[in-house]
Amino acid sequence: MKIVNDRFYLKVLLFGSALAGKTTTLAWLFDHLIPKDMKVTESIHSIKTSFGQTLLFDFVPIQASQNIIIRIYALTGQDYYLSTRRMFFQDVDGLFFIVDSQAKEMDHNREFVKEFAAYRKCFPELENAAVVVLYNKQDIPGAQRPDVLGPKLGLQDFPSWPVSAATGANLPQAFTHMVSLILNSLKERPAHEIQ
Amino acid sequence: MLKIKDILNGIIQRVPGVVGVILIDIDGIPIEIAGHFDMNQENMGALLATCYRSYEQVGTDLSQPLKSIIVEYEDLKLCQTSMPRGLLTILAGKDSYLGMIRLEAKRAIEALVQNMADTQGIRESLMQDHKFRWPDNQTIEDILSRIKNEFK
Repeated sequence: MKIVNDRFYLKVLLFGSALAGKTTTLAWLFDHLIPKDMKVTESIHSIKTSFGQTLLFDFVPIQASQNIIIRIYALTGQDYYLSTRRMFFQDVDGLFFIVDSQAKEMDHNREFVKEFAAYRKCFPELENAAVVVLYNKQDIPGAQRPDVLGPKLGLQDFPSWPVSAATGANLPQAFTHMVSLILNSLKERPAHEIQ
Repeated sequence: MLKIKDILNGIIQRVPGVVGVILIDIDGIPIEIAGHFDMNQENMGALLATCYRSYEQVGTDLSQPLKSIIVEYEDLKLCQTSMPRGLLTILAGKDSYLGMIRLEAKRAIEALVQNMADTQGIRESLMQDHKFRWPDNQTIEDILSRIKNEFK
């Protein structure tokens, strides 16, 4: 969280393996959930590879109130761009961990759990960030349930939702929960902690 | 003391060809802007900060601190210079002189550092006196209900 001029700037990341549904989640939130008067930009700003996947990030700033801006980044999930992904983890207020619920993706999910654990050691502020796990692709036949995936991945202690970024199922609940967590955290933070 | 906006406007006035100057914090949050950019400030800030961080990382791997980035487009030049906790970006026409731009950037940064250091104390005392507008329960409820209503 940062204060610039008279505004609070909060940072929320969408993090998870390649093709887990980060960009689709952000697109659904932008198209269906974020009120028009909160949108700072007309569309999602994306930096994509030549084959259409996220190269650096997809970015949406939203103006929640007169002095609160929430900046949402869907990070690249491509391993090739690992070094650029790392630089987004400073000053994070909230993180959606997007899990691909298909059984065949378990190893990829585990790699990102490890990566997330490494970031938590490097960036102490991540310990205070709100983490919400989205078990995505629940609309696909054979998708594993959160109560199965959570303990397997070690993510069972975080609040979580079974979601479908394609249909938007449960995304409103997960997003409002995240916004509630980060705003209440902001309200409770002592003034001397703010940079 | 000059305001940040005045410092940025000064660059536009003194250097022929400069069309816009933007000061962002290290994460790309726009602090102040002068002149004209055909682009959303928030998007531009996010992109500029990310580019800078990428080059900074290359420099770290080469054991070289990054000082500035010069980019040449077909009709524009872009000069991005770092300062404590921020980045100053100057956008100018293709015929403008890079030497002048870099010199003005250096001068402006000296003034900006002074300006931002002097206002830090004022901001801290404002916050400690709780004059800064913290979000209250009503504000939070209002934001959440607007999001929920959007989906109904």
